[in-house]
Amino acid sequence: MQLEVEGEVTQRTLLDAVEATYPMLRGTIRDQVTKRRRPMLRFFACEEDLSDESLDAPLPERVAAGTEPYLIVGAIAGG
Amino acid sequence: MAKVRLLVGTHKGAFVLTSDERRRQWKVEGPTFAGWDVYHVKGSPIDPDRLYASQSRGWFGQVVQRSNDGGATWEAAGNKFNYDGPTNTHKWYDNSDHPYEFLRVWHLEPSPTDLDTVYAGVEDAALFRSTDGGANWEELKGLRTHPTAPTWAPGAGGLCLHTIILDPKKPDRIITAISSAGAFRSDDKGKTWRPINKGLVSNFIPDPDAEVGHCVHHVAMHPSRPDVLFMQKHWDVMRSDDAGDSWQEVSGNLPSDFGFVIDVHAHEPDTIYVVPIKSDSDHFVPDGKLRVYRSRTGGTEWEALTKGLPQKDCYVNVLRDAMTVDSLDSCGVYFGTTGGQVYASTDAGDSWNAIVNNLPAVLSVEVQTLR
Repeated sequence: MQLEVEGEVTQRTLLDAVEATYPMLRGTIRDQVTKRRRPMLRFFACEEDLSDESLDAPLPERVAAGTEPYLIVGAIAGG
Repeated sequence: MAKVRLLVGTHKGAFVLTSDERRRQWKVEGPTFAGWDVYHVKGSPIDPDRLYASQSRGWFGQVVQRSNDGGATWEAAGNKFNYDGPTNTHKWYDNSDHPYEFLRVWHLEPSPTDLDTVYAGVEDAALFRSTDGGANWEELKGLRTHPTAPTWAPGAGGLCLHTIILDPKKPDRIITAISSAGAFRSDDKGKTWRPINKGLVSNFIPDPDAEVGHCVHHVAMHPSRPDVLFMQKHWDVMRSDDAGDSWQEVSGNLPSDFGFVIDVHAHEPDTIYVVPIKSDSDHFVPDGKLRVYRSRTGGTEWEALTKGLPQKDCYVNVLRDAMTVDSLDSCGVYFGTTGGQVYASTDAGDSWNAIVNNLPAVLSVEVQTLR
């Protein structure tokens, strides 16, 4: 998906934009109340795992510019 | 001609099974929400085309789905289940204090009087209510903040509120059951609650007079007689004639009184059904035989119903929300198994047929009689 994010592009503002654009995704990536990443998902960009990084740190410029994706990846686990 | 619609929640999606009142030929549709656990699907008694479904999965959490056309199409409703106020702890399996956290919706109970009001029983145990068709949820926190709540411990399936009964004659009365805290009743629309477990005996609880801590699996009631309740517990089938103020054991001659489901015939308030399970460690039917047991005396005297059910090499379980009855003149009884079968009887259990054989493990079955 392609999104417009106002202000600084961070994990928090990016995920806020995802949920604002697709409200049915609220609670499915981040806990609805705590806003913590759901434990069986991880976040990646530019070949780095950003899952445990600060949500308010700026994302790489290439992500902000739209030339690199921000990846939300579910655990590759069955059951 | 009337129709019957079965709403089946499974480990990998929801299925809708429909038939006419003869209930011989069935159309199977699904899976909807494929790949997700669908713990429960239930329709409104006011408008049968209004359905709610609890869709959950470890990866993506909880989604509540709503349909306004009998399951043909669905839209995501609200999934924000925010405990009201600070959350305390409950006991964990090792007796440590474990913080409360929301995991999933176990049971959805639409109101019989208002189309947009629906209750949700959740894990970790609490009761929520929506008055706008599931868009927003408000916790009825009097239950979770009961003084005994810090002592509640989970059963094997988690600390879940799995049973919600709305009294048809007393609109302020709600009965709930939690594994494994016990049964609770409110007489003020869910504001305050009291345990209703007097008479329950659970060998794993040292105190014989314990007010809470009993692992109640399911409670059923006939709407014509709401003060009479039937309970399938972690061992023991119980009956109350005073809305839960006291309970008596009615296991009688059952081969095993461990089980999950219990239900009541639509037109005979003293005819009840259970599916005995071998034991608390062996969650499958005894002796390799799938047998529904029926009592026509409100318990104690039970007969095995086996015609059309496998009597050899069968080791399935029937989970607590996976039995239901329709309201046609010849009462239909239905149940789903962890082996993926859904069975139907059109003669109150005298004989059975498998509607469908190879679904994913069935978590819940509800029926709508459409006239």
